[in-house]
Amino acid sequence: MIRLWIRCNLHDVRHILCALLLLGCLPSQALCFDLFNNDSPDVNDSVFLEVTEPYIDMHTGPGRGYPVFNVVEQGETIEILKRKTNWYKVRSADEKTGWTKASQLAHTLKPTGVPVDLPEITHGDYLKSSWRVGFGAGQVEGSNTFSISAGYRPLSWAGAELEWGKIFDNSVTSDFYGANLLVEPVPDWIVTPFFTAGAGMFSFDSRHKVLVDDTGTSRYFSFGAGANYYIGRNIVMRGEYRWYSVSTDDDSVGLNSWRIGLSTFF
Amino acid sequence: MENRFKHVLLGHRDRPCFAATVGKSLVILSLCWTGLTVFGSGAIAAEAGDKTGAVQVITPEVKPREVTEADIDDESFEIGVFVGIINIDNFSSEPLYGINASYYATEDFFLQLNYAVSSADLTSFEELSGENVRLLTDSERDYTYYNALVGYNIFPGEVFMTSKLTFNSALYLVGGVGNTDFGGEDNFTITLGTGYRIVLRDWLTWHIDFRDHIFKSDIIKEDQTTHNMELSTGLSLFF
Repeated sequence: MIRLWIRCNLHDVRHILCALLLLGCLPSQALCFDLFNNDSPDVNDSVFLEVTEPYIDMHTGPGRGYPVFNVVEQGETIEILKRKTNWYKVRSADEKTGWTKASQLAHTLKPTGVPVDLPEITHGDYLKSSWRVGFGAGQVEGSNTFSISAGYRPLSWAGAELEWGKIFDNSVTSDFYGANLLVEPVPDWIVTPFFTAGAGMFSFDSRHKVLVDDTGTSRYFSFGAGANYYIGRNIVMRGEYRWYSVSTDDDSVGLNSWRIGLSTFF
Repeated sequence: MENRFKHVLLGHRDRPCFAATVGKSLVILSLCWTGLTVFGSGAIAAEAGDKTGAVQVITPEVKPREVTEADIDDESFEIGVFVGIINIDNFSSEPLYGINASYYATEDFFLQLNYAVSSADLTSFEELSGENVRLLTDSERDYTYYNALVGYNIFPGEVFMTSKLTFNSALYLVGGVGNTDFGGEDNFTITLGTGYRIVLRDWLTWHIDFRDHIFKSDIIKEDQTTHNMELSTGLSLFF
């Protein structure tokens, strides 16, 4: 009874979602039918592969430790339904569906007899990748900071990024936004050093408005150095030291800063 | 495509239930509306064709679409909504509403962005002191946070609801930084927590989360480290 109820309600959710999507606009129909046919895509839209290894395992889930419940033998055909991280959901000829690790599918053949070429993100993609987004946290002169950045790298060794962040001082909270140029002279190392030069604006907001109601902006320029560490897939860890020169009314102040963060490229 | 329409209209005939009927009715109504739109625009086009007198019947060349490995559906992104209770330190426990987006980088690690809103009520001190004593204005009681977290699936597994109904699940840990806007101030916030996810469908997950949002506040006293505990639950869609 509980099972029936759960099933019924899951289908209702899909129905109602689809109704909303359909009422919304026409192009969403494609998405709607994808929702319905999630596990049974049109036969013409599937990738079929022939197993050439002695066998491949089918697991109950896409992750470490999920038990093997079925085996597809050499010469049999499997249908690829979808992918999650480095696992593929496959359907065997006897209509069983399960999850197979990407490495196990590496030696399968397409119907044309050509070895399959599954998309895999490696360090090589990092070298030619163009867009990057990331976030990081650290300190500026002992005050906590975090920032997010988005950038484009037209050359394998140089790129530019936009950055927005916050610095939380005891008496002042500042937003900062700016642009950085990055030079990464040896991008093909797993740990790659880089240098940055940037400029932007600090916007200050006093925390103790009762005492000082002071807000204002200041320009800055910065120089930095750090290293990117390629963790795997499309994730890179970034550590950086940066020196800011912030112009005040009649002088400039130097600020030391460090941060560590993660970025992803695509 | 015809089969897909049939699937929509005739699917699940063996399990009639009220909500399903309502849902399907909505779908049928929507399809009618969509159909009207399509045929309406078609009629206009046909009229235009009559006027020019140049009606051309085109036989489309049907080529089987070549499916390549790159066309395999990759489901790594997840968006969701959640509701819960947050215990705002020194204040009260209040309902919390939020949205989040996750990117599953590997089978073990994911990155997550969260945004949520709540609003603090009176402290016990304010309650007892009467209407003349207020520590914060109404707008300063708005509690809003956003953060970026890294998650690790520490205990992946399966749950057995019945002898035949099994869902994949995971207990995960999250940690990260963000900002909490409370008391009219921005506060650097460290978020640590744990959560439990049940994968209802490949595209739908249900999760329960327990998180501690830690920040230094000077509303009540100077530089007090506050722990704001959140218990929430939500649904997410993979795409």
